[in-house]
Amino acid sequence: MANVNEDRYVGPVMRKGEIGDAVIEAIQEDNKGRDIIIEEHESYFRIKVEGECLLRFETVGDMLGSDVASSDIESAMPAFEGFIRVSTDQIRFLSK
Amino acid sequence: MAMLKMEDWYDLARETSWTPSYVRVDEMFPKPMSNDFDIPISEWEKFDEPYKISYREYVRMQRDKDVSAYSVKAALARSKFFENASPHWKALLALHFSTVGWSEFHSASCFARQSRFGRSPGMRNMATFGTLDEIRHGQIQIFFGYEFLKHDAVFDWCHKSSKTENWIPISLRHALDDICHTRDATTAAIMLTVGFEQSFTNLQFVALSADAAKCGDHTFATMLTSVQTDEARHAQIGEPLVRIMCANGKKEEAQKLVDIAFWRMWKQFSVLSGVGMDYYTPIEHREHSLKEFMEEWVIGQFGRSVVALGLDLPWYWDELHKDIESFHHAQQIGLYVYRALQWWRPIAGVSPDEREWLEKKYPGWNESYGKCWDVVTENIRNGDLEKTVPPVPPLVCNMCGLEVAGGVGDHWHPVNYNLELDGRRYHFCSSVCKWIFEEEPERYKGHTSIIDRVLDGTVPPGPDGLFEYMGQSEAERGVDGYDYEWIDGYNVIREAAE
Repeated sequence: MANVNEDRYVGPVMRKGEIGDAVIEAIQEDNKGRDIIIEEHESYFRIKVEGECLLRFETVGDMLGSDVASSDIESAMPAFEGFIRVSTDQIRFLSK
Repeated sequence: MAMLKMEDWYDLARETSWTPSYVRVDEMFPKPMSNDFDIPISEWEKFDEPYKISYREYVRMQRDKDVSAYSVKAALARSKFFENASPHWKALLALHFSTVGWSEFHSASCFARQSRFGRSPGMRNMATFGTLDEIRHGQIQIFFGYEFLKHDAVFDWCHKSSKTENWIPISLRHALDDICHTRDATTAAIMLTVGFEQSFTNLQFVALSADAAKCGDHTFATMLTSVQTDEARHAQIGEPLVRIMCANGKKEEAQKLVDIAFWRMWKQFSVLSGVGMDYYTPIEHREHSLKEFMEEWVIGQFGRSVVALGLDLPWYWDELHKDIESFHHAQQIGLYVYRALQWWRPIAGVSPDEREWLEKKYPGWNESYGKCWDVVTENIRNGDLEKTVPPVPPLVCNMCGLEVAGGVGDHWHPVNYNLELDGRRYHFCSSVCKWIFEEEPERYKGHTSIIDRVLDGTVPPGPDGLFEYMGQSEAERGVDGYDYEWIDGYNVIREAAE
């Protein structure tokens, strides 16, 4: 069984598709210096960032080539780990 | 003109508290509907939505989600997926749609009460979106399920099951009534969002979507994840509530609510998701076992979240680990051997290849549950079908409403958790179900399981009495989903050996 006391990795679970791919690229761009793990499952990606995960909509938009809002992210994000904080420009996933 | 950022206007826009002058605060928020746990309102009003969204943006987003899910359904309608699906997958769809769809309306009602009786504007705001979410979930799942009705009358039970006294709806309603409907808004919010949604909906709506995608049922997979995108948002109501409780010396109270709700829903999902993933999903399309998905989503993700939130893991965490290995295997035997009591066509799911998979995922399965299936299999091979149906009814737990089942085969151990109260003996499937009862006997003692109703005469006598009571006409009584053809796999093995 997984150890619940291990160092916590946080981040979104994204449905496979265009937005999911862009979110992976954006998180890698915006969280440099943190350990990042991408787990691929049949229908979703689990993106895990050590300690805290920052997801900036502008970066996702740059990857996609179009404007992105929090609602676009939510529509492709069926789950996440961590405590979420949503604002106009970004989502943060906190470990505590 | 530059638009203000959401965080610059959000708090002001959703500030709906005022000082009443015609009624007292305790009349506006009576304790039975809105327990403040003796925490000052100034503390509750610190509730800050972790997940902020405007109503305008919410409506646009939900419309887009529906357009996406319904478009996939429309595009794939001509693929004849359902008509060509295996009895395995049809059983899974029937079980899902006839238990989950109407359950969503229970959640809608619960969130609606939170949107009225929540102690803070932020909570009421999030709960309003939660209410709308759950109405959508009920509607989309009833609609998608009813689409199969033209192919299979079983799907009449997408809605019908909620109105019957079949033993499964009795069990599920009792759990949902306990955490959603018979608690005040604050309590229900913690139990529903932390004890239920943050823990188990991922299992059925994200993990199962992986199996659905592998199975090629992209309509079902898309619908599942579409629903869960809402759940992931509104389930966050629980975080600030628990933090406020802990910060004001009420950790013990919050912990108990989570412990009770989590176990009650685990029992339901162990059957719904456990049987669905480990028996009803065709073997070639299984992404993981229930145990593996539980490790990822519940033991791992939920467990870490609870601890990070300032709570402890539920006291029965070790027992949960054991239950993950066993409970749904026992329930699957019960679902199959008492198959006439189910409205769908149950699958045994124990062909030689499937048994090999089960043994690999649950080492020791062949020496325990496999021993029961040996007997069932041999009786079917010999044509003694009547011997595959027990002549006596099962013992049903007076908390979860599911079968009391101990270890079997070489690992035999009986289950004996019972207590006497007011001249009545209550039976439980586990120490945890018994603990929940003992914490508040007055709350639970009046409920009767389906077996209690048989014994006290509520169920009419006669061979059809139970079926009539449960709303099952002759055509609505479960039969083997393969008409026993799965036994051919064993015949081939025996013939090869001979």
